[in-house]
Amino acid sequence: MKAGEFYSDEELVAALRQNDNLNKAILFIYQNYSEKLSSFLINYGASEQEAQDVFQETVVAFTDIVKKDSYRLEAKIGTFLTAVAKNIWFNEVKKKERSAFREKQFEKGRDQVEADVSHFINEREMKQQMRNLVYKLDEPCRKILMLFYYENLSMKEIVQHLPYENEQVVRNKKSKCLQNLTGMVKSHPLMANLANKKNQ
Amino acid sequence: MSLSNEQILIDYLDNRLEGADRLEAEQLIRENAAAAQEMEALQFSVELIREAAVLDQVQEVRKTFHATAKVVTLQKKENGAVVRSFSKNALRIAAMVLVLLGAASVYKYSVTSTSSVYEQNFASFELATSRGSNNDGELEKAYRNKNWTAVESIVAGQKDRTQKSWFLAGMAEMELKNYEKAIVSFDKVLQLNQKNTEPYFQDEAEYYLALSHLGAKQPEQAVAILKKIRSDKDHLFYKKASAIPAIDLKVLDIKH
Repeated sequence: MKAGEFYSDEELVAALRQNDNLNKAILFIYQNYSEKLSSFLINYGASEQEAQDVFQETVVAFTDIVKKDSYRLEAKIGTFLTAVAKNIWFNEVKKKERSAFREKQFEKGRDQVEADVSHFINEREMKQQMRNLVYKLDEPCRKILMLFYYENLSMKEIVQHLPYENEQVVRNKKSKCLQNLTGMVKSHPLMANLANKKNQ
Repeated sequence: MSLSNEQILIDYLDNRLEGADRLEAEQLIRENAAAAQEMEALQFSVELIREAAVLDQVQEVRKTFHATAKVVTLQKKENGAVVRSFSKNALRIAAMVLVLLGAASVYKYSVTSTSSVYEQNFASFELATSRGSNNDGELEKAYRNKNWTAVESIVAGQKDRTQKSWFLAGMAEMELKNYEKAIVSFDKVLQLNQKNTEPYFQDEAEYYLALSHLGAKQPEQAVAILKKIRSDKDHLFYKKASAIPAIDLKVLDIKH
């Protein structure tokens, strides 16, 4: 991983959309925004560890938003990341039922960008909580699903990476793994709540 | 949801269906609520998989980033630490000095003894011609001739022994390494001086008494007398007693 790669906002967004350059792009975000945002979060009452964890979640959220083409470059990346981090931390504070004082302080400093990103964050909250379901799958399942749905490898390519006899075996295995995960997703309380809300 | 329908939805999700098969799948999702819900759950599952993959990557970068940051911080500390290196060196030097001092102390302790202090400080007493009476001619002659046993005999044969007699007898005993006898002689000088208004050989007797105690391996008495002399600038042997290193006296004190 090369250090010191420079990206403009546009180049960074483009790099985040392509998996080939994702590590470099993420490293660039860490190099340029980690310290500043961590200090910012610490000012809002986060411990150093919490600040690092929130920053990590911010990067995951931002990457997700960019990959979904939901980021429009209307705000600078730094401003957008700050808004995302602040929202994630706010939700954390709420979850942990920290002092009302901090929440009031947060609300006072809330600007338009933060309000705009808050709907992304609310959706992400559920994802963040359900993400662990993926890690409940066994290693071969997780690997096959990630290679197919994230790395976008074909069945033929996956056969070369994993010890399966042929493409059909891989396809069957992948379907079974996805069904397992979907079964866990459907029975997750958060998903059940969402379904109930939709039905009302 | 039947297994076949579930597979159709997965194939649709994976973009493997074409033509009529694709249309059939879209119709199923549109018209069948359970199929639509299943499709939503499948899509959400795929989002979770992608999210977990991104998280894995971010975590990997985070590790690398913080590990690199640590190394950079350490390097900065090392480079910026000319002062720190200096203080490290200073500490090393201080430690070495302490070790050397320690070693020197151990060495000093091992080599300092009543005998060594005695040898370093004993010098024969030179008798001045002006001192004493004419009656001491024989004694003085024997002393100057360094005939120590003759000095012993002459003093032993005297009926009225003076401070000078006792002192020269003491010096003769020292030369003969009879330190206990020397102590007795010098004590006599001091006792006589206590009785007389004008003390003779007082300072000489005190100094050589101290050395005699060293010779007799009685450091406690020797050190006490030497300290007394060192505290009296008017004492004839002040300079000589002060020339004995304090550490030597300390070692003698500790050793006794």
